[in-house]
Amino acid sequence: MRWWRLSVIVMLIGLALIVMAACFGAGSSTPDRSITPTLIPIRTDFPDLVLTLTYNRLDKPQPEADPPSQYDQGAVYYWLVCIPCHGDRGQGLTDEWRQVFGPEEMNCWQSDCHSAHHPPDGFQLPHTVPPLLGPTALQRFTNGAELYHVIKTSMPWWDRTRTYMSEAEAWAVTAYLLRQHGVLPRGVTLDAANASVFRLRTQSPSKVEERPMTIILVGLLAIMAIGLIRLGTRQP
Amino acid sequence: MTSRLPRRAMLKLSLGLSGALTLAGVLKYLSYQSAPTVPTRFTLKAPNDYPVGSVTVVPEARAYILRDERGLFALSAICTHLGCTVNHESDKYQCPCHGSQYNAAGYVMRGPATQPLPRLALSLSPEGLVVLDTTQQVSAETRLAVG
Amino acid sequence: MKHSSFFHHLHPVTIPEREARYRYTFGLGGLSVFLFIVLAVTGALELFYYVPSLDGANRSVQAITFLVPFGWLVRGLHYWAAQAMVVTVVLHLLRVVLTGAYKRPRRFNWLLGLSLLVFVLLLDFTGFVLRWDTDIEWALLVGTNLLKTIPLIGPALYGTAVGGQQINPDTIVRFYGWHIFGLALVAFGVMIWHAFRVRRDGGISSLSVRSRSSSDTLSPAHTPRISRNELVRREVLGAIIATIILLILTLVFPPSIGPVGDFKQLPEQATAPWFFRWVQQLLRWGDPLLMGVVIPIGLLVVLALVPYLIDRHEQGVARWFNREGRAAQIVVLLMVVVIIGLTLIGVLQ
Repeated sequence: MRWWRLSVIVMLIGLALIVMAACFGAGSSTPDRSITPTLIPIRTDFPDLVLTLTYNRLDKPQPEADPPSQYDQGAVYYWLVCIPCHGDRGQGLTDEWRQVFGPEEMNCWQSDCHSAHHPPDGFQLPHTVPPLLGPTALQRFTNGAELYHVIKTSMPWWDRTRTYMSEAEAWAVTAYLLRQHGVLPRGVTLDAANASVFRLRTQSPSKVEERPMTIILVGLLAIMAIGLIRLGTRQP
Repeated sequence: MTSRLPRRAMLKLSLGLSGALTLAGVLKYLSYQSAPTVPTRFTLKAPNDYPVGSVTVVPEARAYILRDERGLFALSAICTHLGCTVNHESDKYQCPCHGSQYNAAGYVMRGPATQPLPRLALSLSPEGLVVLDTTQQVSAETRLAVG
Repeated sequence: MKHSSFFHHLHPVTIPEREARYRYTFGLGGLSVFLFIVLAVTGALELFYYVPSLDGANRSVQAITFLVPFGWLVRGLHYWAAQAMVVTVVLHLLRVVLTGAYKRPRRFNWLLGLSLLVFVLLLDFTGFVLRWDTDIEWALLVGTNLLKTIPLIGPALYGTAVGGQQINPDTIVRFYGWHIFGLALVAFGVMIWHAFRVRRDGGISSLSVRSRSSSDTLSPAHTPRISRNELVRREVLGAIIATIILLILTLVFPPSIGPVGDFKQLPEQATAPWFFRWVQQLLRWGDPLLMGVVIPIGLLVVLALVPYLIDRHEQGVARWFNREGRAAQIVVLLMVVVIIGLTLIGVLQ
């Protein structure tokens, strides 16, 4: 009878593994973007920002190509719309960055300007705005297509009607971020057709430098297991 | 000849090493600190907004800006006993927690504190505004000269 | 090698050698206990960094995964121990059914075990939701809306689970409370009761125990038994091998984390977590109350009735595929096949 029950058990475990593999194998679906945006000049009538631009780090980025490339347009758009929250170096809304705003502007939440009690035409800001550049930034996005999708559907933060940013502007900003991450080569125009080619998640969710310790732990555990097995077989 | 002893020793060694590795890993895990959230540099007003002999509180920096004939200096308002914020009263600083008292220059007059209030670094921004850095301490004679 | 530790004394002095073999129980119950301990430890470690708020939930899980030293390892172990535990408790249930270990005097313990199965599934679900990314949105909406379909008590049950009339920022805190205290802590107590009942009911279901009707018992004096130390050695060995497998799974298949879920624009594809795919498939076919609530609870009721109605024999304990328990074995195996079939249909769509 032994082979019988053994085979049933093995079959059930095998089925369970197949089911789990099928479930975990299905990755997240990439959104279907069938529109190809053309490169149009982004507008220049941006609202007057409160920041007094006195430091060099806040200078407008100079275009590297003439006429300005998609990357240049993205850099300028980032400089005008994104840096109040995401920082001039993509560092996020750090305390150091808020000090640049000056003593009257830097207390975003304590002064209630962007807290839950904000004025009627204001908005509530989350307490952490993530960094966009740097070694761990954007690592939860698999590729440029995912990044574009999130930017287009949720940014700028204060734009509740989702009408402020055009598709061309969203592609431009995505191209800027991808280039700053070193994954978009110079001269390449980003669009729906090629966005999924440029991979962002260069590091998997397990830090490379911490893997050796883990593997050593696995090895030690294996030694202990073998030792315990041998210990058992010696007993009468 | 028994092979039990080296096997037993190897088991114990592996157990010890695994335990040590795991403990080290857990301690490293718990030691993570996200980016500092307390600002340390404060841009204040113009030097002449602080008249000679004045004592101006800077609550968000937990410090006082003072000015004498030689120039500006900053006193930390953090009591050197256990860290409460001292209050300025007429010509002394009084800590509400355990009763430490400092004189106008920050030296201990009474009470469980033993160290004087530290002097913090002042500088000028490019526009000529006073900048306070709470991470830098300076000597008691240092002044920010007001031209 | 004599040990007098507390851990050793939790075990009976000896247990029958035949039932102590891996081939009899596969150590599934003990494995489940070990996985629970792994979950408790890794969960406690995650507790130091997880923030149960709208801004903080997804962000803190990302911090654990990408920023905290070995955070990916702690989270990965927690995730894989949870999925493995669902598998081990189901296989343990199967083993108990196929060896007739639900029969008297173990019928109440069978019910305790069933409740633990429900706890484990709910724990996996609430834990999944806590990462608050776009992948959980459909699962949370559908899962909680199913509660609303229950007549009379539905809305009240929904309010208790979700903390409001709809999914709101308080839901995160509510699910956090459910996950840690409402479910894990209570399950811990039931687990101890379950283990206590095992010993009180005569230890591992075995041929060498004199049952009430003495038709197929062997005299205890002649059957070989293993010592407490040997039992502990086998358990530790199982635990070590389980840890190795969990570590390798974490290294090779780390759990993902998506962008923060805001419930304003739901993803195009709705996928339930893998252990509820069969329910999602049922829901595609008909009325939500019938498919999503009545049928799953009905299956649970059928399972509960196994030792009380489906197989009332007392003989046949401790034999794989015993003749007396044929009805129960067929019913339960059929159930498993149907659920796996539904899952496959759902996955392959």
